[in-house]
Amino acid sequence: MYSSQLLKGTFQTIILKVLSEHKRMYGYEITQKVKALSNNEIVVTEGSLYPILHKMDEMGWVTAERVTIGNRTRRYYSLTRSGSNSLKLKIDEFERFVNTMKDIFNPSPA
Amino acid sequence: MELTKNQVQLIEQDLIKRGIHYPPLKEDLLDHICTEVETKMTEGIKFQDAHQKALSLFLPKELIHTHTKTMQTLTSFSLLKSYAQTAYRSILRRKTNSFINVFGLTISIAICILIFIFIRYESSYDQQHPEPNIYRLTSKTTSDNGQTENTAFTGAPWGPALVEEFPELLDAGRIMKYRLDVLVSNKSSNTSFYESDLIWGDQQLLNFFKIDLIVGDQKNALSQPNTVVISEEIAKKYFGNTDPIGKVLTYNSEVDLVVSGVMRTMPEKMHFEADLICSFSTLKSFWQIIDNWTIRYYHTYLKIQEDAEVAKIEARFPDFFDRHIGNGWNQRRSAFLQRVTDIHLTTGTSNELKPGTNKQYLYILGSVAIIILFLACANFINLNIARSLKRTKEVGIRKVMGGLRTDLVHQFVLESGLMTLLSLILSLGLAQLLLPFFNQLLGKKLTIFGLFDPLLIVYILLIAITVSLLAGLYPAIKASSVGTILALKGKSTTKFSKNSVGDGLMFFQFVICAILIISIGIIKQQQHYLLAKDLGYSQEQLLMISTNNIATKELPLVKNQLLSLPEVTNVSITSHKLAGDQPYYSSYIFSGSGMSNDTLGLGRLHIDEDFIDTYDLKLIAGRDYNPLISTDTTSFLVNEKTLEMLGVTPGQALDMTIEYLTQGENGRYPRAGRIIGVLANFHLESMHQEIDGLVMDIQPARAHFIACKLLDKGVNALAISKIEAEVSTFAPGTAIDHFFMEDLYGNLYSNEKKLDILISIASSVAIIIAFMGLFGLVSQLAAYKKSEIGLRKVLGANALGIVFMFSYKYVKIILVSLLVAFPLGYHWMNNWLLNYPYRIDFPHFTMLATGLFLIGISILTIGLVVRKAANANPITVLRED
Repeated sequence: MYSSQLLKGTFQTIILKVLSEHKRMYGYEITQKVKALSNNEIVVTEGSLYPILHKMDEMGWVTAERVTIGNRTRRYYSLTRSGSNSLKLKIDEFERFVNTMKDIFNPSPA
Repeated sequence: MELTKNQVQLIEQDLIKRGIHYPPLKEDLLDHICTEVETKMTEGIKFQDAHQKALSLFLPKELIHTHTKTMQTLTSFSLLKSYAQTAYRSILRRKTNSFINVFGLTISIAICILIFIFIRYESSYDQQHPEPNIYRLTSKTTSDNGQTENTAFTGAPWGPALVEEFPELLDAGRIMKYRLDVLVSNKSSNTSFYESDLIWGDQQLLNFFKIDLIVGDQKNALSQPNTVVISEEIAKKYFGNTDPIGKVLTYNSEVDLVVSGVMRTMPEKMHFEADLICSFSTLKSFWQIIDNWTIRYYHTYLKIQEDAEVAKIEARFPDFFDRHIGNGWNQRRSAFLQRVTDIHLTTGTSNELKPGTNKQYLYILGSVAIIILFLACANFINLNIARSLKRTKEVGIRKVMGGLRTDLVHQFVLESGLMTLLSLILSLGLAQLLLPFFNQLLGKKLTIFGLFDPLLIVYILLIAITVSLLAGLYPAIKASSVGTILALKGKSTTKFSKNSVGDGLMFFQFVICAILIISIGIIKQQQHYLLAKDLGYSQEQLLMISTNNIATKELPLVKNQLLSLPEVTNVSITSHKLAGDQPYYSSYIFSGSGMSNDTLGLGRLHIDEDFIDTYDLKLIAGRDYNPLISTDTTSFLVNEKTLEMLGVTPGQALDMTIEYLTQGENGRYPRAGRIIGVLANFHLESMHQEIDGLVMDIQPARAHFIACKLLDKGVNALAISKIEAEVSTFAPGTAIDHFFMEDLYGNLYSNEKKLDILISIASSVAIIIAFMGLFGLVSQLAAYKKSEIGLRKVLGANALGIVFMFSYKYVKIILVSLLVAFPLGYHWMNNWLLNYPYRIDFPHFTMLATGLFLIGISILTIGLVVRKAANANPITVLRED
């Protein structure tokens, strides 16, 4: 499992990415999905997930939809157009970041 | 494995306890934990343990931390939006309560808006005039018995003389208006009409008041004799589409007036109206009494220096009248100044040019609006208190007060705010819908533009904010301030039935309802009494015709022609109509053998030989006029009241002679004659006035109204057309003005009718609102005490017994409120009745009926609610609990 220090800046990208591959997801589902995809290496805690979801809702990257499930209401989140644009930028940025990191760790002979 | 409703609720309350109250986040976390718990339970773990396990996945404080973090990411706008959404859902969920609140508020705000527009309209008369400092001279007469009478009438020479002598009085303008319709004709086109709104006025009127000339010189149009300013309608009526300026209109077939200006139709919000204003200086040529200082028949307006003190000016009036009139004029009379803007809302001044509005009436309306608004608010507050107490118990037992407070305050204030807003919008629509009826009822032409009054908008917003805060904040704070320990001990249960503020509000509602019902009962009975009271004469089938310009010498001929019609049984010609008319007043000298002369100021009515028969009056002594006795042309009839004032018996009266000064064709002359008969009292003015002493004699020069007694209702239409044909041969080219006495009489009490209808509507609304509140409250109480009802049923109580258990408390409240309402209602309504010289005895049974009515309806309401609860199967109810 990676340290939370390391993961902090990537949660947003991870959540956006997971959402982009599904029509709509609810919070619990997202945490489970991330866990499965990362082989239990990355755990998005509730404490990180929900503030991020609500913030993205606020920014218009995701929209929430209320559905009654049994005796409670479930909020399904789905990606908006501006959300998928942001995701592209984020992935681009992250790939550049990884490349830069590689450059730093394996400097090519000058 | 799906969680039950109760289990979900438990988890939710736990979240609230942990301080999660932002609704979307609460929903997320609830769903999250529930899913977690469900997963655990499929593994065979019991709910309680699964819940604990699910929670233990969170670090300590992690939940509240999540909440804080989420809130930090939010703008206040989306926070508000989310609360509004929750409130909206809650409103939809609790349909009965919401309906009661919104319905009550909508109606009451709509009523407030209408009444506000009306009051604003009535209090904005004469505000638009170009000269701000105009006063009307008004005079006051004190009679022998100490009664004072204010009249708008003043003498014609007073104004100009005052301006000459008082430096503070800058200018004066006068109006004269004849009490009957006058004939105006355009000789060149041979058109003539009777005009009711013709006045004689000084040029100053055009300077003082908002009378805009479209054509003509605003500064000089009325400064010359024989000029007239007319309205656009009048110009059309007499001159068609041709230019009226310079054309001639003839007054009463004798005075030519040149049109010198056309004015815009005068604003409705003015204390007088006119279609034609003829120059006052014209009067000099034919109105011989114009220079008389003591005849009061004119309205005088004075322009006063801005910094002058009105009281100081008034103080010098006695000296002024002493010098000009002398003769002890000041002993009984005085003059004072009245702001033009005050005229419309001042009542009790006779001879007004336009009827004013009683301020009292506006106060009553204003109070009614506030009362109804209060009733609706009381419901709102009461239902919210009941709700909050219910929640206190739910949550309190779990020792959870922290989250509850903010949660409740936010939720309640937003909910009531939203409902108030909804009611506000609905009430604007409702007000617009009701406006035509309201106008019809009050005889006004209010428009919806009154809604855009900035003051109204401020008031409405204030009302909305106050209602939202009162109805939301108070119950929430009250509920959340119940101590945890008390709540734990289940004390909130007792709180529910000992909700003193709620009971207090309900008590007030019932007091108000009771007073309104008592008032309406008494107003209705008094009104019925006035309309049914014996007038002392018969109005049945009496058709009245104005003599207008039929020549006096032709009247006997007219009378004979009318009598020859088979549909007419009797005809009598009088100087006044016998309903709501004010008689002339004269000073009569009574003398008889063996007694000293007595002078009395009494009403004067001119009649003819057929008066008693036509009007079916009762002669209690003496005889009727006899055409064969030549001295009868100067003989008198008096009413019973006159004898009472003189202190003589009918027998003595028949020995007396009367002398007074009268106005004939050739000016004033003394007239003397015997009293030949005494009539039983009859009502000449409206029932609002006490019957005064009245002296009757024959005076053909004062014949203004012809009364025809018609044979049979079935032939009325025929009779009217025949009479019209007959009369019009004597007054060619003019429309015949006729009306039935009974219709005229009915109109005298239109004010009572209006008040009656208004209070009826207000009371009905108030009662409906109050009982809807009771219904809502009892519904909540019944839901709350479901298990108690169930238990009682198991223990053998029947449905009726349970209804009585619930009614007991409310009947008690009603009884106490009746104790308060009875003396107040008695006091107010008794005072109201004292305004009427002829009135019913205070009907005490009205009080009893009111009490029974209120108690009956309450038990019915409670029965309706509780029956449902009482009929439910106790086993299911108890198991659910």
